[in-house]
Amino acid sequence: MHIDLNNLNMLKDILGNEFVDILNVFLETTPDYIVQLQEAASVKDIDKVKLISHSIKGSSANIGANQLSILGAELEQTAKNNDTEAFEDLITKIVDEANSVEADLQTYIQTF
Amino acid sequence: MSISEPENIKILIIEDDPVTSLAVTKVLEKTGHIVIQANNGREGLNAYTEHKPNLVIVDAMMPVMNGYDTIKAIRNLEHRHSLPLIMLTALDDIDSINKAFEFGATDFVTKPINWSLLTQRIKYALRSSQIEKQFRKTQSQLIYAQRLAKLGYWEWDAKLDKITASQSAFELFNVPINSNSTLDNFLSRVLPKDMPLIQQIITDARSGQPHIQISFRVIQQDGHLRHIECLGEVSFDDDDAISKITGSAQDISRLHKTETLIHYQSKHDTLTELPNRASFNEMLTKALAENTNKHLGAVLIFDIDRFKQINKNLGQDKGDDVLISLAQRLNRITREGDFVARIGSDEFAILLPHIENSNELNLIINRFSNDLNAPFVVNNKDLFVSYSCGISVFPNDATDTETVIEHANSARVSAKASGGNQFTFYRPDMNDDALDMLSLENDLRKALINKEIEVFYQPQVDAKTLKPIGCEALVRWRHPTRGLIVPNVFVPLAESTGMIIEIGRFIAETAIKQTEKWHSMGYDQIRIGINLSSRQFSQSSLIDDIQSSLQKTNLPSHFIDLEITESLAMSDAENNIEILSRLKGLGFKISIDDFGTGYSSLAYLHSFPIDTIKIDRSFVLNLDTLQGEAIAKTILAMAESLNLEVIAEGIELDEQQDFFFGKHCDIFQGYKFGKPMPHKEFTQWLEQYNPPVK
Repeated sequence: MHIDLNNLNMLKDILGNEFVDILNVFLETTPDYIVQLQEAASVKDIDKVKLISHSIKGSSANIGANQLSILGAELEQTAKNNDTEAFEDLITKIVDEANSVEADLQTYIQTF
Repeated sequence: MSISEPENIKILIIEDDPVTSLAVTKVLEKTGHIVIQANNGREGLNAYTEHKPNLVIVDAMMPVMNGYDTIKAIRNLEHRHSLPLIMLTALDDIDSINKAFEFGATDFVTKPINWSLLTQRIKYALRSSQIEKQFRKTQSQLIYAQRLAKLGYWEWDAKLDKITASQSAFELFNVPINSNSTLDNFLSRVLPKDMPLIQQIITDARSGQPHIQISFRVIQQDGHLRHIECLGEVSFDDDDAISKITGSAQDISRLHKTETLIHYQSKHDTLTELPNRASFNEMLTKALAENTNKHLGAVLIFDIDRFKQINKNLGQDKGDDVLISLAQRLNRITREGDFVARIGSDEFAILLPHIENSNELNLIINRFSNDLNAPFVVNNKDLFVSYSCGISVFPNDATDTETVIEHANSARVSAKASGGNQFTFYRPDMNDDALDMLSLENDLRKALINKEIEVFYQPQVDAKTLKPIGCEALVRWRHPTRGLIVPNVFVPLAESTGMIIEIGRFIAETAIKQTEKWHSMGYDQIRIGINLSSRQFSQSSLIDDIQSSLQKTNLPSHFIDLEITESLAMSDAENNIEILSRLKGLGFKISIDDFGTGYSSLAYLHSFPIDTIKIDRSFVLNLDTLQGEAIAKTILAMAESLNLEVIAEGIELDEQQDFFFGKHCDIFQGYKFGKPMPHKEFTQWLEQYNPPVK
């Protein structure tokens, strides 16, 4: 499981079925983030990488995708350190993890 | 006290990440709030202006405009400083939390967001601001709301027995900031009587209770108690043991106070909600009775200088607003245990029941003086107010309520008689002084008729050529039995009795006539400085009086330099700017006297139609210190950038003259060039100092 259900369930308890809307937004925006991230990394736009990795860190943490959030945080730190060399490797990990999270979420949504 | 229903509450969320934004929105809508979303700081500002939300949540890191700048910008937009601003920030980033508070946030929430804690926090923030809003009504009061809403953040790692907490949490718990604090250290200042409550809560948590809500008391540095409320969430490990507890702490002492106050409504003034005279007397009586070990205490009684004038100029409503703001400011600047009351229309009293020594009292008075002198905002403009304050110290001055108050009051009267804007300690001879003043006042009424009032002239020279350029007219009273009396003794008296109007008229007329004489003698570039008092300034006939004095002569108006003090200029800036503009329109020159001694506001100075500033002698006197030199240089640079003429007063030494020489200073005045002297002597001075070329 690539998502931590504790936090998700708390949100679900409060929101009921509307909770799915949030997951759907996550599923829509994350691929966007990843495209933007890849573009920014390819032209070494460090500020943009910093910003998007920060967003990934926050949005994934809020739906319990903890590993993805950690990777986002690592990338953010890498950008802060101007370590552009490490971008590629981390972004590959982020893409993989995002795919796994997406799959898990799709399954989770089915349970509603 | 009724709290608004959630459905009336608008919350603005400024967050660039759609997932977080939507989640927050949905959670808050679920609890009945109206939520407005904005994607970045700039949009957030627009949404703030458009919707005027009751609470704003801001993400720290955003493109276009980051969360800190957004918070700051919103704080600037809302004048009342009551808006709860919650910052979303990364987990455990204490620096960014402290930064958020610095920029004006009232609380923070870390990501990943703990959803049930979020709704609690928001309820809290709204409750604080709501209670404050009802209990107090003006902006200065609500500065406190920020402080009230400011939460401490703490986390206890149960495995390592280690506390991580924000600076404000350490402050709330009154323990030194320490990154290796244990739970016992952290709770070491909790009132021992309340410790079992905390132990009970931890026991409950151990048996699986996941939420914490508890209030207890903490002993402060000064021995008083602070009421703290903690909210927390418990995390458990796989064996169901506590792994950590995360939570917030809030100072709710003021809420306790509020509740107590309601019980005593009868003893409170309805306008400012301060205790009234009766409760002040009661508190003082109690403090005096409890003072068995004869430690020091003090009573301060003060009123606002020229408050009637403020009421007249701004209207009673605004006058009331000033009183309310002042009352709240007093609440804010006094310490826990001090007692503030409104004992008359614009009269307030402060009881300091416990002071360590006279040094501490002096520090407190200095702080009061600084805080009270800061301007009030009325109609979006700064209003500068000064106070006459009398201080009576017990047990030294007296030990019974009536006498302590009486003494503070006579010190206040004395402060007022010396021109106001001061804090005066009671002295036993004050009653003699008062009698003395009374006889002086009677004499003053006859002084003009008896021709005892004289005008003296103090030379002014050109700072470059050192040639005579003019003089300042100064008033003297040649008393038949007491001899020459200087203005700072009798001018306040003349002001308070209104005689200053006639005296002022006499000085202006005499000085203008005399200057014309000097012109006809060939000294035709001599200028004359004439002081205007605050009382004259509030007189509608001022302009006519000056104009009619001038019309009796052939002197062109630009030789007349009308001087007003900085504090007078600022006292009713808008009205004064208008009068000064009209005088300037008639060709008179305008100077700001004693520059730098009042609450100088560059922004205002710029809007005043002035030609000249006079650097106060106190700065010239301090030129031999680095600080004095820096102030003088600053004033000169300011004058240069505003293109103002500068007169340096009080020049006595070569070094002082040398300092100003070659800088942006136009005119010198001081004993080095000549003392104030009667007109005959001044004519001689003109002849001897630099005879005119015939």
